[in-house]
Amino acid sequence: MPHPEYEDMIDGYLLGRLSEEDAERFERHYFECPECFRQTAERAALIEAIKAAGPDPAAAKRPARAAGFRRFPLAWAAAGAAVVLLAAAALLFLPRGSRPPNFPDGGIRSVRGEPLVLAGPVGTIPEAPKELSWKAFEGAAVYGVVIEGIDPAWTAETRDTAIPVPAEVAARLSPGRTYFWRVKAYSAEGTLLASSARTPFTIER
Amino acid sequence: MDHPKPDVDLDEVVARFRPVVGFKVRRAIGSDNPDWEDLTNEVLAQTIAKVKAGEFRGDSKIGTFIYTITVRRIVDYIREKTRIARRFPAEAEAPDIGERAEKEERARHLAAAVASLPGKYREVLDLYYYQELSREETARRLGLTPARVSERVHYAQKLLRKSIRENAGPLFAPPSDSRKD
Repeated sequence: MPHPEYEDMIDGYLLGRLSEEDAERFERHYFECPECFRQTAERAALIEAIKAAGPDPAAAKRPARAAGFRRFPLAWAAAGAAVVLLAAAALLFLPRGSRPPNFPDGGIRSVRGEPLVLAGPVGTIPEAPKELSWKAFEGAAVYGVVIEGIDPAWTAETRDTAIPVPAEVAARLSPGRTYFWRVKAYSAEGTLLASSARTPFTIER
Repeated sequence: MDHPKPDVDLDEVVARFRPVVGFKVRRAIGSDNPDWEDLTNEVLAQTIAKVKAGEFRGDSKIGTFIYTITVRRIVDYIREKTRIARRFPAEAEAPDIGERAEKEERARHLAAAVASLPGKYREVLDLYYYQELSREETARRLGLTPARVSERVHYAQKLLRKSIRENAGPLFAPPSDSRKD
């Protein structure tokens, strides 16, 4: 393996974890290095095969705790189930003919073939976002959000499909820079159900 | 004319870069988007035209040259698509039935190959790639070192290599050498 420093970046690149600059640097490299390209393409095919195969049935027998949800006691699972029931009940009472909200096309990437759709912010916005919102994902008990591009990245969890951006986080977002955010949906047991793509937003200068 | 013409074997360059350009284009516009093949051909055609016109000086690598053309074409494509989507109501693109069926069959073969892996490989692949946990978290949950996690990923990839080569379709570029491992 000629370039170990790039080999370490392959998973980060394919799973969308690299910054824009690093991703570009990585791409320029595999345009120049056939061996690194071969490794990247093969890993991409492996990941696609994993996604297509679906979750590991043996995983159900393993005690699963989602990373970062260490304070995720059993009470949450029950509360999560209650929230889902309430939400389902609320949906039943929606007036007929009410149009579903219009979500922009950005930010869809599915883990199991069902998309986790982001609502906003997307693209260029006049000022720092006051909240992040997304479409409910079936079966999700908890959502994890992250805004990348600030150091440290801001992460939070919520059972809602929207979360306010704290003032001190918004204050760290500079106009003219592109930030990325994403949402992951977790089941009550802490299994990852779906992950949105990293979606960019830029605050107008 | 006095530009030094670098020694570029265009046939070789096109053959070598077709999978690379195709890979980058598909990642940029979505692997389900059928336009990737046309875009790839356009990038390669532009490359040929520019090299023949003397625009490639040979002071940078040909890969960088082609990367620039690729990125520019992708940006133009996205811009054009956005403009069209704004002006006309979104119409469902007629899916290519034959291609979709073929793609689904390949996905089934790949999924079957993954499912047939020994459990210790499946569990690593599940946590690390399906659930997208970090390498450290994957290691922690399975009681392994992070290095061992990487080893298992590599070995699983080796076990699946044959199935990947046969079933990954246009996403996977066959290796230029035919080294057996």
